Amino acid sequence: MTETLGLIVGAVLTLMVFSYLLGDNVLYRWALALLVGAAAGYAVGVAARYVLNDWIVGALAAQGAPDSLAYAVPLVLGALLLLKGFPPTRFLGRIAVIGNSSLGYLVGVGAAVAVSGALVGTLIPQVTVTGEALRIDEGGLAIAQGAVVLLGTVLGLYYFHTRPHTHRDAPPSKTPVQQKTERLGMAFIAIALGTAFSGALTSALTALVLRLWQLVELAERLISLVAG
Amino acid sequence: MENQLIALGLVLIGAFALSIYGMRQQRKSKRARSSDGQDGVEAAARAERGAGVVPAFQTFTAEVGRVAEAGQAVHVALGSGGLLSEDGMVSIAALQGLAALTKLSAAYDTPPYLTTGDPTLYLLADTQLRDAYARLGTAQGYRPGCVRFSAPTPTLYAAQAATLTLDEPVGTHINLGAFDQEASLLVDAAVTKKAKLAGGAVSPAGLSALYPDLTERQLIIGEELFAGGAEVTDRSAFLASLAAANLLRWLVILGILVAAGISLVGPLLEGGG
Amino acid sequence: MFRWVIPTIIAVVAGLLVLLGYLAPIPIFVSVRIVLVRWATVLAAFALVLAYGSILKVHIARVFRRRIRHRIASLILLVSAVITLVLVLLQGPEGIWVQAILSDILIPGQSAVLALTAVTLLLSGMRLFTTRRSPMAVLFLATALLMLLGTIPVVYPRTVELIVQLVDAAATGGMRGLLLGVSLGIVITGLRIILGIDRPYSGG
Repeated sequence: MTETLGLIVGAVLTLMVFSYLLGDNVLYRWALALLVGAAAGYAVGVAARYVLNDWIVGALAAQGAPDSLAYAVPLVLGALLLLKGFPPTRFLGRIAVIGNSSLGYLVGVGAAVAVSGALVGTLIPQVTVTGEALRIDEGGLAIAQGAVVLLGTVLGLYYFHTRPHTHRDAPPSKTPVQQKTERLGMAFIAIALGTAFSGALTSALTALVLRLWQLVELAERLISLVAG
Repeated sequence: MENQLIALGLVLIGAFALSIYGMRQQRKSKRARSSDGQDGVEAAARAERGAGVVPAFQTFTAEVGRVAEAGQAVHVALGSGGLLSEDGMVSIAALQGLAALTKLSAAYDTPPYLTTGDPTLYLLADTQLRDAYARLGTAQGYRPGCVRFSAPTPTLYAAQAATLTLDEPVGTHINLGAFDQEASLLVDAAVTKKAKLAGGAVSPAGLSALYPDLTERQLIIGEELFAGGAEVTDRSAFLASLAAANLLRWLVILGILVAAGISLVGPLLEGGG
Repeated sequence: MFRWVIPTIIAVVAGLLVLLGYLAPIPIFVSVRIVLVRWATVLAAFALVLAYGSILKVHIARVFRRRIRHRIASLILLVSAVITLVLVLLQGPEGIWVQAILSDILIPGQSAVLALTAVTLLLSGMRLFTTRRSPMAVLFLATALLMLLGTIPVVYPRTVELIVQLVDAAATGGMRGLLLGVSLGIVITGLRIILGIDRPYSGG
């Protein structure tokens, strides 16, 4: 019974969301408001429990200066960050600039995470896999595919090659070869975007079919309940 | 381990290139200023003309004046790129590309609506707009409601931020940052509202959702998003970044070609041996 | 001082230590990196609290503003946000009611919103030639259609299969070019911050 009730709630919500297809309306807005509120409440609840259980309780139980410091630093930085929530008309809002230190910490750590992730997670593996795609011992089609991948990668990357110049200078002119190479690079990117578009459409259609299928499943269950 | 060392090498090359190109660019700018004695106003005017690398960034500032005259506002959807993820740098680059827009908006006191789908990005966007007012000496005029955290997941963020475009008098809608296919919901709202569109993304899915509705001059594709700072400010560090990125680009292309060469020749050598 | 000097020192030191922890194979750097990243997750949790406050503020203002559309939606959002928060705080994420909210509201609801993009993407695709009339737009559409046809389980002639495979390879190449370019952008932007050249935390 509880399961059926859950299915009914999900189905009603789905229909309310799908009502957007008839145009923006109150049912869609109500469903969206419910979802956004629940998602925000859930996320902040989990975050608050994490800080409370893992850090505040830990700080209170900490023994020794190094241990206490390890707990205190993020909590103090977090408290400074909270100053940013006050409007500039209030005193605490006027000193919100102190919170820049906490934001600086987040940005600094984030930059390091991003740089290492981009290099070790994307750049180096992609370079290796692109080069290795060209294998002479795997037949004609494999060589052709490898060559196309290699060409697409190099030209796609070349497309973003910029000619930096100061604002006062005229931009350096491109040779006809450069122009043609860039257009070829753009063509590869257009093909990639077309493929991504079809991928996005396919995944959205899959979600649509799954939602519709669940509606059908609920209808069947309700009919069987009524029929006894 | 091997990959980490290669990455460390690339980091060192990148840092070295940034420093060298930065110093060179700074010397060039100083020489240019002293040769024709241009003051700050002229420098700002030059900055408005932009570096000519990605013209879409230039349209942003033009939109501020246009919507202000029409009594409307600009809505900038910054996406869900949190500062502790790889997308964090995408979000930071997007905000740098919007620097001129936020400054001009603060000067006209027609702040844009900035929406985000990540709490850390929300704080950064809030700091940027707050600072734009503070630099003008009108910190009290800043209205915190203009920067909004819409929802904590990308799909709900896009759906909720799209309602802002529908409800408020939005004349221009800019999608700039880390998006996937959910960007399509934001574009749909802007098209329904007949708002002017501009922006860009870095992921193929996000770009493919923007591609059909944005013209060539309105769309910022992939790496172009990182050129925003160079386009809207006159800072030599941003121009140096473009040069450093080009240097790394050639190294990457070289790396690909070397890897391909080894892959091609390897089996032949094995066969011969 | 508080505007950018101290924040810059903090950002540079934290950034350098974390970067070394990821890239330099020395155990002490790895341990420091783990601690620093854990601290950052605590700060992200505080940021979430602030962001939650921002949502409440915006929608409380909407509820009390007259002559505004969708006030009830704002009220629903507030009630839903507060109730869910209270439930998570009381029961924890594994609580029975919290699990019910997740499985019966959030998962089907989000999936339904994602499904909406099927229609918005289709509509957007139909507008393609009103905004773009270029060979690139033709290439975009032709590739999208070809790839969509490829998902239909039909036996195609060998030539068509060959074309699909080569287009797929071209798409892989284009995507890799795009991704590698973005990675370069991320690396350079990150390095500017770690070197203290860029200070977005002090307003840019």
